[in-house]
Amino acid sequence: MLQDARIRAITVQAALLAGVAALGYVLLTATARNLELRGIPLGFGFLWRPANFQIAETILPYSSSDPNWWAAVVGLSNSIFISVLVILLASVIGLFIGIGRLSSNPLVSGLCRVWVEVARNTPLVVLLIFNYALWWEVLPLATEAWKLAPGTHISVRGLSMPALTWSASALAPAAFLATSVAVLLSASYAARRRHIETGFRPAYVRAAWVLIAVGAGIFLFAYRDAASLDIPEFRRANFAGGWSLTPELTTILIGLTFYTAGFIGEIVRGGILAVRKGQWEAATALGLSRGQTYRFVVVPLALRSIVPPLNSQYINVVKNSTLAIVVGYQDFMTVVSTMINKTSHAIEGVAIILGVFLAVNLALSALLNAYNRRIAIVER
Amino acid sequence: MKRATQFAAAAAMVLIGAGSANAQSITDKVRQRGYVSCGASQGVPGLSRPDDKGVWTGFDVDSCRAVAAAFFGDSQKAQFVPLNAAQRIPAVQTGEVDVLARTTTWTYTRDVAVRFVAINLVDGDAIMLRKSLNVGAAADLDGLTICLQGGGSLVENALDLIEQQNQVKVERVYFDSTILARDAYFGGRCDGYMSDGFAIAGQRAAVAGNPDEHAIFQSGATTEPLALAIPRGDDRWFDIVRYAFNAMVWAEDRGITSKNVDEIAASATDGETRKALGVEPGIGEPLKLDDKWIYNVIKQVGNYGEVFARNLGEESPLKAERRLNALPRDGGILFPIPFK
Repeated sequence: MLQDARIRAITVQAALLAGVAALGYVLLTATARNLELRGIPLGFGFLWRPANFQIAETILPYSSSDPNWWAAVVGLSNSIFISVLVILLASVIGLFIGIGRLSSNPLVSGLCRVWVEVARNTPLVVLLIFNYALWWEVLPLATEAWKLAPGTHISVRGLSMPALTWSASALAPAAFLATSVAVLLSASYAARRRHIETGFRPAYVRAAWVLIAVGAGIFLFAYRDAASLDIPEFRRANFAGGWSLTPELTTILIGLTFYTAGFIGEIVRGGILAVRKGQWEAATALGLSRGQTYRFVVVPLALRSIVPPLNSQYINVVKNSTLAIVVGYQDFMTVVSTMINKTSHAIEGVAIILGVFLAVNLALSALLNAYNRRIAIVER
Repeated sequence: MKRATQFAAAAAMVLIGAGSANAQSITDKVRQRGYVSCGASQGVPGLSRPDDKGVWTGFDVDSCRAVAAAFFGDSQKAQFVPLNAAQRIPAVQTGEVDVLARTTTWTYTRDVAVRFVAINLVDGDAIMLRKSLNVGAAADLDGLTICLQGGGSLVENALDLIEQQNQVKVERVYFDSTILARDAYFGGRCDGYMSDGFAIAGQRAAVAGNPDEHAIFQSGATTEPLALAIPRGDDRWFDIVRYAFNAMVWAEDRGITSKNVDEIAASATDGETRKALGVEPGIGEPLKLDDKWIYNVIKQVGNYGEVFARNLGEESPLKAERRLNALPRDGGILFPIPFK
């Protein structure tokens, strides 16, 4: 029987499984015993009790009497907000840095190289703290704020600008926007069909734009009293009212984007260099300009080698967003840590942090893998 | 095959060993390690902060050094772990630090997670503001921006209370370290910087470019008992920490200082003092400590009044008043427990 390869393989697998299970059991029971010895109770009941702490800047509505689970969701929304913005910005900037590094213009390639080297060889925390300190080293006090435009000021307190307030129902502008988009899409679809049928492209899209512009004029006239400008005013120590961008949010956005764009730039450069010379030559032979060559030939081909490493950069952005608190922006990690401090449920809190980051990153990864499959070479 | 068996045996021993090592008492663990691991702040002048030579000094630091002096007979056998507000309680729960001496308010929720031993300072919240803002009452705080350490400190609650009681709205910027909050305030990001009263006084005295530009506003919204904390589960360690601290208070009550302790030990006639200072044997026995342990605390660290004066009071840049942190005969609430 020992000679039977199949039985032997099953035995080895079973022994391995038993070993892992035994190790898990020992760890779990030891943890439970130690927790009991130290008098640390376990349970998730605290999530439904009021949080009793405030969060300075939130995307979703929040007050300190909301339950802990909602505070965690609000914190998560802050984290996802910065992660999404940084991923979008860093991807666009990274693309240009990658292309720029290959430029024959020494100034452009040199500048891109400096960016990449600074971003890749500086610890992110140092970069963020430096970036944050720049606010008060460079910008004036609120009392001497620089005026950029009427009602728009920048100072150590951040950027403060007029906000558009809408007193009528939000449904009207939403409906107008949706209609405009629908008109544009159907015009473009109809134009493409005519193009295929007759070889001639009618100016439907231009007509649609004119229609929308006329519609917008009528719309604005009909609702002329609903919209008003909320202009910030200086009161005692700072500007109040209007719309403002805080130094904390700006710093984490700029800092993390700068850092990530450096890495993405290198990935893009590698991807472009991986495109065979023959493709470039073929594009030149077809008479494509340099911009067209990049747009229609090189970038689509390079994407195949760019997307997989990009995946891990995006995951790094989500993980690095936990450094936001260093510059005073409260993210998911900070909110749950505060919860841990207030309720002493450290094990559960850390489990929540681990679980949520795992879920977010697995989802992000799945999304990019799906995209990767779409752009991969279709083998027939 | 033999190697595999040996490996399995070694792995099993490591696992079992890890299990039993965790069951060891704190007292044994500290004795074996050779020093007391103290939880400290990230750098608050007067309370706990490394000086320019890297030596930790401050009132909280001395509270922990007293434990080292009592336990090892050497106040230098203490090492300090800087912790932020969110890290400190888990650090005690997991036994990473043996004593937490870091302006931690004694609260019910925390006390059922760790063990509070003794109140070493009574403090209240305070806000440092630029004098040009003329804040004289809590109502004047309306619309101002305050920088402070977040993460669930009691000071945050004090700010909530000020808002509710005075119908004002304050904007906050939270940081994970009180140091960055302070720097952001000095940089002009905020109108005020909020922390505990003694900590604020320390930052103004030691860090502000020109201390006269900054006023300190004490709302009186909260009275905070700041206390020493230890992990749960070791009554012997609890006794040692409690009485090491009490030795300092007791010494002040008896007029014993680090300077006159030798003289008093030689000339004392009353039984309690003679026994406490180790002239007569027996004081160390119940705690399994040296009979000179109280003497060591007083000689090496000083009495409560000396420690306060050196770090927070008249001999320090803070020049803080003792207020409630004095003996009852001086109008305070510090009670010495008799060494009888």
